[in-house]
Amino acid sequence: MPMAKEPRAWIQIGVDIERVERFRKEMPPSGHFFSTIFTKREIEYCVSKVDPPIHFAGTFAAKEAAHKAVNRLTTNRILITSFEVTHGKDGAPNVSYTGKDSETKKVDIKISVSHTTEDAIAIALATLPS
Amino acid sequence: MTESGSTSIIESSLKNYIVKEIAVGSDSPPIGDDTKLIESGVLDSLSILKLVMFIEERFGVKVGADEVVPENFETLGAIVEFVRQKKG
Repeated sequence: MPMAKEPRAWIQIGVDIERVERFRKEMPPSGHFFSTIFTKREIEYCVSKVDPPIHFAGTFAAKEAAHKAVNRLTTNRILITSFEVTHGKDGAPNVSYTGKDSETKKVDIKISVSHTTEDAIAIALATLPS
Repeated sequence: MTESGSTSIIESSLKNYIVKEIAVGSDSPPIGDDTKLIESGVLDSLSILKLVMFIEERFGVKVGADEVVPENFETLGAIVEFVRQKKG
């Protein structure tokens, strides 16, 4: 009997945790490290906070969680820097794909981020509409 | 410069950067050509991005999104070969 083909997944999750210290030691935020990894809007958001490294860690964790979830869902390889984290008026984070891959553009991504002064963690839920 | 001389310079430069900038303070194993850098936890997503920045600056090459894959960064030998091919 032929083997049943495994159904394609339409939902995937991704999680990431980052040490705040790793971002603190790369300060100041005007350096090449930050401009390569983060968008201008992300940097503006993080430096507007009292302790920016905490928010750089949280933003990176969100991008990496989204990256993991989306790369498990789609067939193309996407770089982590193709994701941007923004915040709504209520402060809740949103993540969006800013690249050109047409399949990845269809993916809906939900994100949740939390942090202490030492670590930041994010979980992403990626959904590909049927 | 011979090909082996060029490879040796690339290797020592990359190893020096990984040991001094990435593996600092960690309990990582001594890094040889075949040490599994991702599997052993020496490299993660953030440190791979830092390494990509270093490679672009140090060797004057551009690393594409589709090249930032585990196969190119899993060992020092793989990274050296990747950089050597990028430099042509």
